Amino acid sequence: MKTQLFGIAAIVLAFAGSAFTSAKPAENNAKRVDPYYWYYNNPTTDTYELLSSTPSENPPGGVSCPAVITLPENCLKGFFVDPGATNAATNPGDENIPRQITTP
Amino acid sequence: MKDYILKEFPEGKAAGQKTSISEFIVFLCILLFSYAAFSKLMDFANFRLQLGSSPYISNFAAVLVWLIPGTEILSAGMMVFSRSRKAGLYIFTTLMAAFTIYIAFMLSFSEHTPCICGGIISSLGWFYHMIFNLGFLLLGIEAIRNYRINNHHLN
Repeated sequence: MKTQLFGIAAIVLAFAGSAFTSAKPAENNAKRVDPYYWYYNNPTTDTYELLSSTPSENPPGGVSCPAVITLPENCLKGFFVDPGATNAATNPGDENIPRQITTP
Repeated sequence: MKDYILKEFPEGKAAGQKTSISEFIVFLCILLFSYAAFSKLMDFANFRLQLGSSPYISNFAAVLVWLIPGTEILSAGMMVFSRSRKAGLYIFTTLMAAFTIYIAFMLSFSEHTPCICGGIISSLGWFYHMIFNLGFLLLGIEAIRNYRINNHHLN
C-alpha cells in the first residue's frame, strides 16, 4: 500500500514537473533554428516562415526570442533531415541561400 | 516484540532495509518514466521533429512517437501496483537498455547527432544522457534482483 501511494505521488510529481518545464510563452514562437537565419514557427499552418532574408545574430524586427536553442559541439547547425523527409531544413554551407521550411 | 525479532533474526532487519531500498528505486523509476512521457506529450511537435531527425530510426518516427511515451506510461502505471510491478520493472529495464544502446551506437557510429532542443535531462548532452540512462538501467536491474530475492524468502 505504501509503495502504491509513493507511486501515485511520483506520477503526480512528474506531471507537475513536466508541465513546469514545458511551459512556454504563448505570445512568441520565434525559435533560433539556424545561427544566421531566423524562422517563426507558425502554429496555425505548422510551417516555419523565414523572418528575414538577411542573416543576423539576433532575431530581426525587435522580435524577442526567449527560447534560444543552444547547439552542443557535436551538433549540426540547424536540423538534420533525411533526403526523403518532408521537413526541409538548412544544411551547413547553405547559409547564403535563405530557405523557407514548409510542411505538406 | 519487534526489537526481539530484529535482534534474534537480523536477516529480518536486512530484508526490511532491502525492501525500503527497492521501494525507493521503484519510486525513482516511476518518477523518471512518468516525467519523460509527460514531457514528450506536452511538447509533442518538438518530440516528433527530434525523432524525425534522429539517425537510424527516423523512418519509424510515426510509430515511435506514440509507442515510446505510451510504453513509458504503461510501465510506470504497472510499477505502481504490486501485482504488476515485476512486469513493469522488466519493461522499464528493457526500455532503458534499448535507449542506452541506441545512444551509445549513435555516438559511436553516426556522423551526426540530432540537436537537443530543450528539457532538463536533454540539457546534459548525449554522452551524459547515456550515463544517466545507464545509471537507471542498473537501478532497474537491482530492483528486479531485490524483487526476486524478496519473493524467494516469502516462498
